[in-house]
Amino acid sequence: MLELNGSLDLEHFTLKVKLEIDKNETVSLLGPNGSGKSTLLRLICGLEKLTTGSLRINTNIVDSEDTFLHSRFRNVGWVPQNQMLFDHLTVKQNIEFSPNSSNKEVSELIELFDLEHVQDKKAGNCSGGESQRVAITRAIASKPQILLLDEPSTGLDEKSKQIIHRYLKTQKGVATLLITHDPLEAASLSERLVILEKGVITQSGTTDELRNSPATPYSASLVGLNFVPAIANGLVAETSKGVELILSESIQGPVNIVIPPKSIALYREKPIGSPRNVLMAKILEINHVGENVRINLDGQLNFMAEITNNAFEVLNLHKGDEVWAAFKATELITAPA
Amino acid sequence: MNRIPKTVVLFATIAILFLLSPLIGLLQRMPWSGLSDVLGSDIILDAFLLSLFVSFSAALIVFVFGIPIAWFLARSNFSFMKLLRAVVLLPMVLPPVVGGTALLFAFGRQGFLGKWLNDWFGLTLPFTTAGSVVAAVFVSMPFFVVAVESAFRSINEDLEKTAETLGASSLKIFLKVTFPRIFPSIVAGLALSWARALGEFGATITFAGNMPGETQTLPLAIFLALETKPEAALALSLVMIVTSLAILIPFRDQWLPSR
Amino acid sequence: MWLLKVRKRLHKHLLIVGIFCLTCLGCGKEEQGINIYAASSLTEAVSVAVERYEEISQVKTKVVFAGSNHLASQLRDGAYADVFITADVELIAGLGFDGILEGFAYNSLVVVKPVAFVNKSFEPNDLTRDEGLIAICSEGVPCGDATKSKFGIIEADTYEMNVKAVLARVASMEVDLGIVYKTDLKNEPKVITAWPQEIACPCVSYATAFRGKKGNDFTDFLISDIAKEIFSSHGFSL
Repeated sequence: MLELNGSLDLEHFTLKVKLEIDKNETVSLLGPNGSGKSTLLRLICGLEKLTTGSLRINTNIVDSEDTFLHSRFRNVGWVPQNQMLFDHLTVKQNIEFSPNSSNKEVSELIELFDLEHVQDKKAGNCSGGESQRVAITRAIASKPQILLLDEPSTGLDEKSKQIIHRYLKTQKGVATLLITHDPLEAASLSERLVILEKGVITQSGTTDELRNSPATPYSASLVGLNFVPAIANGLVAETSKGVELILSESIQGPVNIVIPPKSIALYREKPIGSPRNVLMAKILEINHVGENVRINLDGQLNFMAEITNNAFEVLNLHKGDEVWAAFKATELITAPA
Repeated sequence: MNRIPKTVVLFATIAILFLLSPLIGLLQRMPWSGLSDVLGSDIILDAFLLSLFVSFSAALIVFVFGIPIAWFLARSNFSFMKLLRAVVLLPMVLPPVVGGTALLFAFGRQGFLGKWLNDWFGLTLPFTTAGSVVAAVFVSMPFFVVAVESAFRSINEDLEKTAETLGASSLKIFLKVTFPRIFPSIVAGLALSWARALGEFGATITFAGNMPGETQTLPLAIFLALETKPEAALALSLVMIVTSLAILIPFRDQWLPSR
Repeated sequence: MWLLKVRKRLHKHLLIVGIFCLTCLGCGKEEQGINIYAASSLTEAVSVAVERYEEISQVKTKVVFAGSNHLASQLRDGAYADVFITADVELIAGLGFDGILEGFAYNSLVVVKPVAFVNKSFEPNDLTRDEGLIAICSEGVPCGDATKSKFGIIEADTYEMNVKAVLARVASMEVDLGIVYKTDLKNEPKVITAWPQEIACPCVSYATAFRGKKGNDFTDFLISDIAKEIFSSHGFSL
């Protein structure tokens, strides 16, 4: 129901996006800070105007070279990062603010978001979690065609987060575009992830697609992978620092290589044996994550290895230790850049 | 109890004593015994009622027109904004008599607007109570606009924009979102501008003239009485002080932002 | 080291000189010229007279013109004048002057209209009708009291604090009629008599209060032939 294909000139870069969202779809928008995510939401709201291109919401072209529909008439539910509640009005008055809201639905939403006990409290006196729930409820109550959430659960208490997630997962019927920094949240709430970097969409797809073939270092870091750009010449690829990696398949030209953390084995002594990539590295950080241990390493390459608790204890590793990291050529995922 | 540095307390005390001394001098010279006779006289009653009428009428006009001016100055993006703001604030720095003379040039019988008003509607502003109100509005408007403009600016524009995305009309947004937030500043600004209107002398006497019952407000009556009947002048001053305090004290809290 | 000492001494001297000068600002008047306070209706005539006096006596003069009541209240509050010329002799009492010279000049009242209204005719009845705009002096100031005693109650639209203000109203055409002094009529080209008037009465009498030798000398000058010539040429009766 939403079709955007255009660009917006900003101070430091140009936001150039082609995006489509279906009626019942929930899309997560991720990206580093300052990449234009919030601005993209403002564009859809009508608080910014496209420099080129057009934006269509349902059957209306709301933004193009010769048209611009004011945000008042676009029927979008926008929840900005700092909520923007009407502090002097009560929670209930905030939620029913939109002329489109209906009493019945407002009451249902208040119950759903567990706001009954604060509905007569002045919105300015609400806690962080309550405020966020009020802001979202207010937007939903306006019966929007599309819900735009800017970091809906960042920094919230567990309970509020759960209530919000529960709603977003179970209620359907409204297209939703939400900004988040948490790939797990994105994965659990949405079918599709869109990654925005410096105003350009670098990847758009499901979580699996993202995990299997991340397009940029940022995408890779989201799913916790080691991402290495290099130039390949047959079975050997050379990184910008001059490190040579042995590949399992011949390829030419600029490539992106992903080294899955779990495929890296660590040794105290330099190992010898089958064709493997062997690099020397120093341990920067050690993090225990469930049954495994994640170790950040730096040396010829900056990367992360994930080994079992057992292996960790046997090796007796400490921060600052120098180790050898080895990984098979067949474990590498290579894709042309 | 906040610890305020001793130097600050010292300077503050000096300043307060300085501001209080003329008031003390006034109260000291007050002919308390003959006060009731003087206060009852017609001339004082006329001046008092006229001052109330003029100052409150001016406050009303300032309220109705000052908010749109403040809104415009706070939210518009024209390149000549700085100049426009300077013009709106001009009466604040202009000596009141100069302001009164300028008003004559505009609205006097020979003024470019006054002439038109006179020829087409038979209306003259000088020497009428309406003229006193005009002079009072002229000098007190900037005080209100300054207070309210700064209040408008302090509202995050996204707040109103969010209300727009929810589908609310401009009127609803102004009444329910903007106005409640700027209300304290409106009250403070109105109190300030009312007080200025009440005390207005130079522009009033130059533009509206001096006639008991029509244009002789309290300040004019006091000035005249100072030379002919000093006890009356003192009594009138007392009336002015009591009136001002009666209005300003209840609104004292509005001057202070909530801590 | 020696230079520092000198600088310190210099600063100390400057400070003393400075304080001395400041205290002298208040007392300078008594040493130097002569201070004259005069009613505003005398502005043109006294200005000319004072210029001549400076030439003749070589004494520097400082003149202040304002409404008589205003001047009197300033003198009461501590301002200093060697000479005070006013149309209201009662104001002089209690101000600390040595002597009074009464009636050295006279002035009459006249009803005037703007010169641009030359073809518009008015008559004495207009003063009591509510139609045109009229400006007169306020009661309590000399020209106002004189107006009341000569013309009675007038339907005025504004009561000004001094005669010059009334004159200004008529000259700027803000009012149709005003009652000013005959001398003002003479000095202000923008106003003319409103109707042919018998300026029979000398309605206002000027008195000069003086103190000290300087005051005395100036007052002697005021009744000299030279001064008399100046005053009568400005329209005063003598």
